Order: sequence, then C-alpha cells, then structure tokens
Amino acid sequence: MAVIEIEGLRKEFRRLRGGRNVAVDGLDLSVEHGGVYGFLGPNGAGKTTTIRCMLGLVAPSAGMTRVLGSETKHLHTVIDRIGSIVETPTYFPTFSGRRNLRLLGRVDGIGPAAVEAVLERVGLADRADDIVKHYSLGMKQRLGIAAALLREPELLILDEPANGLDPAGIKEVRQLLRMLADEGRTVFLSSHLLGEVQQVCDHVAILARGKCIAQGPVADVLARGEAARMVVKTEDMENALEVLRAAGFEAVINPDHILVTAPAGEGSRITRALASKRMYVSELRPMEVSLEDVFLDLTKDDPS
Amino acid sequence: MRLLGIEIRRAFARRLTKIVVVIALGGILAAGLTLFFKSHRATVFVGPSPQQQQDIRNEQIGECMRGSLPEGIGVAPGSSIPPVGTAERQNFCEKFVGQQQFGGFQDKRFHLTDIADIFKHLSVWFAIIAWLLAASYIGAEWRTGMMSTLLTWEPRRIRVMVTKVIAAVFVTFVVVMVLQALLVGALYPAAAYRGTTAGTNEAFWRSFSYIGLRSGGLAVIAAILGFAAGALGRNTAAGLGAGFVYLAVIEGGLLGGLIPSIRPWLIVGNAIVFVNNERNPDIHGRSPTQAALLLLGYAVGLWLIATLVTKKRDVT
Repeated sequence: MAVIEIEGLRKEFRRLRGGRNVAVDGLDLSVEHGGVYGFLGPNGAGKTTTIRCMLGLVAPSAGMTRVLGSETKHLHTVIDRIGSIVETPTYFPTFSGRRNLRLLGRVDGIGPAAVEAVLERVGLADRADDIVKHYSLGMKQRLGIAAALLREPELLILDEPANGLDPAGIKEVRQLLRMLADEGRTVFLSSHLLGEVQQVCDHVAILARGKCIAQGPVADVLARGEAARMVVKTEDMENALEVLRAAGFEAVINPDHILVTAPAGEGSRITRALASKRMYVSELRPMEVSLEDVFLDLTKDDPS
Repeated sequence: MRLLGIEIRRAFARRLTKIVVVIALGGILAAGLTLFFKSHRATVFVGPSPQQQQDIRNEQIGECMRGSLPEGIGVAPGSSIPPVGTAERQNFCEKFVGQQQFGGFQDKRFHLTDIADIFKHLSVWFAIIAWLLAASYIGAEWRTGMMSTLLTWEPRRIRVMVTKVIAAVFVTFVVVMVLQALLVGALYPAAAYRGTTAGTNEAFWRSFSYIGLRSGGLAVIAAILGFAAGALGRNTAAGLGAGFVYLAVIEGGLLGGLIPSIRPWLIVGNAIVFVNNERNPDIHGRSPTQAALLLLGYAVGLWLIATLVTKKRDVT
C-alpha cells in the first residue's frame, strides 16, 4: 500500500522581477508502507518544496499529492498519523523545549507522559527546561524530531533532520530512524547528504532540478551508476597501465592506483596479465559505488 | 476548543503581553500615587504671589497717573476721569487700580467623577495596546516560522485563523478591562482620602461602566484590525507600520484633509463618537451604536481578507 503518492507534481514560483522559477517539474513518486525512503538531491533540487506540497503548506501549480490516502484538501483527516519536520524546526523561542512540546501535544490531547518519553528518546531530557532560543541548531533538530514523534505517527516526513548535528548526533539520528522503521513506521527522509542516507535507506529517489532522475531500492539505484571498476595497485604504475591497456582493458591512472573498467570477476585476468610481465599487484579490489557517484554520474550530462 | 485553549494560554504567556501589562501597571501605580499626594489641598490660590500682585498694582497706578487706563478700569456712566497731574487723578487711580484682584481660588482636589473623562482619553491608549498585542501575536508567529509548524499539526487554515483571532480578541479585552479596573482601584484612594467622591451615585457608576465597556469594545476592534494587518504582512512590524501609516498619514492627512466628504467613514471620527457616546454632526450625526457597528464591520472585513489571503498564500 502506498503511503505517499505524487503524480505529475509541478510547482512554479513567480519571481518579484518577473519570470518563473520551477522548483518541482512533473514529479511522480510512490512510497510504499514501511522502511526508510530516502528523498535525495542537492540543495535547490526541489525536495523541501515537494514536502511542503505534501503537507499542504504550498499549493501545487499542477499535479497532486496524496498522503496516507488523503489529498491535500482532506489532509486534516490523517494529519494526526503524520509526524513532520520541514527545514529547521521552529518553536516559540521564549518557551522551554518541554513547554513547546506540551503545547503542541495538547492540540491532539497528548499528555505530559508522552512528552517526557519523546524527550528521552531524542536525548533532550536534560535540556528540556532551557528556553528554545538558547538551543543549538542540533538541539533544535532534536526538538523537531521529538515533536514529530509526539503523535506516535505511522508516517514520518523528515526534511534534513541531520542538519546542524555533530557526527555523533547524525549517527544517533540514523539509528533512531532505523529503529522507527523497524517498528513498522514509514520514514520519508529528505537529505542532501547522500552518503549518510545510503546507510539507512531501503529505497531512494534522487531529485535534480525538480525532476526525479532515479528511484527504487538502493541496490538497484546503485547499479545504475557507471560500469563496475577495479582498483589496482602495483609498484610500477606507469608500466602496469601499459600492460593492462595492451591486454585490452580500459584503464586510467590515478595518483596512487590504476582504475580498470571491469567487473569483479575479471580480477584473475588482470593479475594474470600483470604477472606475465613480472609485475605483481599489491592491492586488487572492486571500487565501491556510492549514491554520490550515481548522482554525479546521472547528472553529468545535464547542461544546466 | 483544545486549540483555542492553547492559543489563549499562549497569548497570555507571551513576553510582550507580560511587558505591556507590567509597564501599564507601573503607569497605573505612578498615577495613583501622584494623585494621592497632590490632591490633599482643598482649595488652592492660583495667580501671582502677594509681592508680584503689589508690583503689578504699582505699575498700573503709574500708567494711570501718566494718562492710560489699564484694561478693565472704567468709571460709571456720567462720571468723569480726573485730569492727569492732579491730586484727584492720583486718588482715582489708587482707588480703582489699587482694588483690583489678581488670580483666584480653585478646588484642586481630585474628584472621582473625573475618571469618566480620564477613561475616555485613555481609550486611545488601550486601543493602541490592543493593536500592538494582536499584531505581534500573529506577526511574530509568521516571522519565526511557528505558523508553519502549527499548520503541520492543524492544516485547516481558516480554523487556525478563527481560533487565533478569538484568542487575540479575548486576551486583549481581558487585559484592557483588568487594567481599567486596576486604574479605578489605584485612583480611588486619592479621591476617598485626599479628594472627594461627591457625585459618584449609582447613575454615575452605571454611566462609567458603559465607558469602560466601550473602551474595551474599541480595544476589541483595534485588536481585530491589528491581527488582520499582522496576518497580511506576516510580520509584527508590518502590522504596526500599516496601522501607523494608515491612521497618521492616509486617514489623518490625505483622506481627512483632501476629501472632506469621506470623513464620516473614517476610523478615528467614528471611534470618538463610539467612546464619547455622543453624536457628532461631522460624522453624519451617526449614533454611537452605528459608529461601533461600522468600525466592527471594517475590522471583520479586513480580517476576512487576511483569512482568505492566508488560505491561498503559500507558506514558504
């Protein structure tokens, strides 16, 4: 069952001095129930605008979004099953974190016990009585995650939740998101940190300039990257490059290794070619492909 | 109702609400104390000191002797003024000028009945406070981005706007009525112990209560206008600036000055009619109730526009 459906979503913003800025351009997306869905792309790709359309904050210029089966105009019927963060979460700056959460909780009749539970869960219990304007960006993000969790939502829509967090905080958030997904919730995670997301997501969609350029299970998207390559290291790199090319391999030399375009199964052929010329490899391994590589690969021909 | 309860609670807990109340309480206390210590003299002579009076008399006698009569000095019909330089002239000048009195005695006690006029004048300030609180209440939410967070909890924007304006109106009305009650409490000792409470019969208190309610009513109208301006500008400063520019420049200067026929439809004139509870020929002889309804119509109209704009406009 799809928890998020987006069909032909387009959003244009009019500029003050005339002209239009197309933030989202004909986006189609379907997010199935369960797991962590990564919504990736560089800054300005249209991720936040898409999320704002999903949450009814921005009206689409064309197309539609459906969240938990409800279109935007009926969003109020399912909003209590959704927890969300849109960009940097904002709360009443002169109220404490705890008081902010209690105020929000009262909207849905959520009591103080639930507030304390989410504060513990995001590691903010010790600073919950500090006023929010004294919070660091990372603490504000934690407060935002706490607010998103307050309703025990079945769908979490999180826009850059790791913004401003230190490495330990990013790791904690990653573990928390994985835990939430393992509890049976769906986490829709928007981020420009492709490497981070790769570690936690089951499915991803990659957005560039308002368009979806790839989507599917992480393994499938990774497979869309450049052809498999092998990293080769020897003592005499220059001669080794000549030998490999003579053996029919496409190879390039990098400062400390040779990159050979070949699948992992070709390892024995590489060693045999080099050994026949009395050259011995000190390292031979398949090059890991990351979402970042895939993204750069998919967008390298984009003239804009 | 839950959202309304939260909004009211939050509006009372806002820092600006507390600051405004504390400043107003300080002013009320200062006014009460000042009046208490200044209203103990039953009658006070108002005019020049005895020495100054003597100097004025001598100067006027001198002028009279030289030939010119000071203002207010005259002789009975049929009598003649003695010629300059004669002894009769000197007697005449000393008799008439020398008997003149300068200044007089006034009742400087604080009369409790004066609070009616005080409250009419203060109603402007209460309206300004109401505008400020309401414009800031919604404007600050937009400026900080809290509105965006709230809309992810309650996406029905019209419901949010209705709830918020009710909260803003309720809180400003309560603040203004409580401040007025405290002001009466602060001024009463000055009248009871150092002044006079003469004339404060049942009819006075009934009339005075209506003035207080009309002042509260004007604050409610100002709060709705301020709220709408803050919501349209999505900023406190925009809400306050719009109010100032409209009342001081557009209504006070341009519209009122250049188009006299529009005066009966302007805010300030109708507010004066409403608070003073007096018809004014310049405002088409409109009754206070009609003036109040007109003002309320303006406020609700502007709020409706702000609500429709809020419903349509993107939250970015």
